[in-house]
Amino acid sequence: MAVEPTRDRGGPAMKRLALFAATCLVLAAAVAGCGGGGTDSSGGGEFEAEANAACTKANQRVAALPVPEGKSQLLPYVEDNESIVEALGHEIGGFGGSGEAVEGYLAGLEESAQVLNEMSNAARSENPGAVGELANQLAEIHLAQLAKAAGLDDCAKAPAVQP
Amino acid sequence: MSARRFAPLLVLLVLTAGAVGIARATTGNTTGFPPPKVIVPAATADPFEGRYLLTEVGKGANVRSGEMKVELSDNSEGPAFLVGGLQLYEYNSAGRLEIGLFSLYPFAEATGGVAAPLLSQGVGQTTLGRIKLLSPSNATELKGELTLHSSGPFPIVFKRLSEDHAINGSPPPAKQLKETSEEPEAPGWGASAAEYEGEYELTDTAPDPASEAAILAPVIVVAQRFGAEGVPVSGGTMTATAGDSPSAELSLEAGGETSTYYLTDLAWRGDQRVAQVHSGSISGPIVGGFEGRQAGGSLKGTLEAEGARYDLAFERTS
Repeated sequence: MAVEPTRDRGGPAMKRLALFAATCLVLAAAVAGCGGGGTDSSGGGEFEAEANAACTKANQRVAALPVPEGKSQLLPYVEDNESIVEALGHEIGGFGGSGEAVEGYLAGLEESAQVLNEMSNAARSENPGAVGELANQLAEIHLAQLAKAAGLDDCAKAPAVQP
Repeated sequence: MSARRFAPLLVLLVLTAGAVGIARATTGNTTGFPPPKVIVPAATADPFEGRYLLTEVGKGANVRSGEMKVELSDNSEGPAFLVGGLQLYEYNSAGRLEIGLFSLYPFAEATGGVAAPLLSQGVGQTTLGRIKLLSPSNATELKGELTLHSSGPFPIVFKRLSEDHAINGSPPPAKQLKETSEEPEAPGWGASAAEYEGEYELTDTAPDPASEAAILAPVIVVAQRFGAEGVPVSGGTMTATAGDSPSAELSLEAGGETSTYYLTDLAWRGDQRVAQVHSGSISGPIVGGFEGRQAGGSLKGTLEAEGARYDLAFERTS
């Protein structure tokens, strides 16, 4: 009775193992690629955690601002918002995130700071009507949508202002 | 060089010339008019020369704010003559602001002052209204009447500005004057309870602009409170009650918050509806007022409360 060489029985098993290993490598490479190389990348979990924490702190600072009850209190309120938003943009920009969505959110913060600067100037000129009209421009930036697209859920939240 | 190669340069020059013209015309064109057939005598005309800011205007004119400049134009063939420019921020039929630029020419003497047609600017100078200015009784104020787009005349009041006073291209809203001095006095919002008692729902609701604004939401809500267009309302209901002391309870959703106001002293005259606005309760402090007009089951008006203005349109549901 002929005995088949053991290597012939083990050959298909080895091939299956090699195929499985290769598949794992391809999948691992694909997963790694999703986290780091595409145009929508954000720089990974560390960036998101840092940016979300910065947004939470900035929201707390906005929520703590005294809400103006008269036109005379409008200028310091708008100025404080301007400096908080500007600082938030600089802070998140320094965390090293990348990709179109992150850049879009950072551009939204920069545009917001510019409009807030115009609002400050209008309030300084005692022109609350223009401040109100510029607020519409601010709303059209849709900053929450930009934050969500960048995967920054906490940055999409509004400050919890106490009535 | 062929004519075809000249064409882009020609277009650029025309556009550049147009852009310069627009940039300089902040209150309308006041130059380039020939001497009119009849010139307002200097004794009458001189006090009108100056820059002005619109401070009060009749509500029906649908004008938010405005500026005016009146000049004495040099005339090599005779005495100087009045010519002016007027810039108005008007509400169009959709309620949106549009800028109207008008030339004021030719001025003529009118009872108590001077008057001029409002000419549109551009290729065809169409007459779109008329302004009458009363001889100023003091150095700071100028009163008159405005007829615009075949409506009016509406009362107008201007404040004189110094030449170096900057408005930054956005004059502040003028006070809206009531169309009639006769205030509604009859109690309630109609001759019988059946005309107004019941439930109302807001029909002109708009998405909350601050809902997608993240960190910007609070400053948007605050700024809109001070703006001329009022605070956008995303929802609301009202319950009107007749009886000895007609009143209404109003719930408004705006800026991500729900506010409740209590309306008392409901009064009416014709289609006019007014009320006092309280916060907290029906006997709480008065924080503003409501003025509106009712036509059948629809009630449109403006509520001013706690420094904020809301433009509201209700439909009666029961």
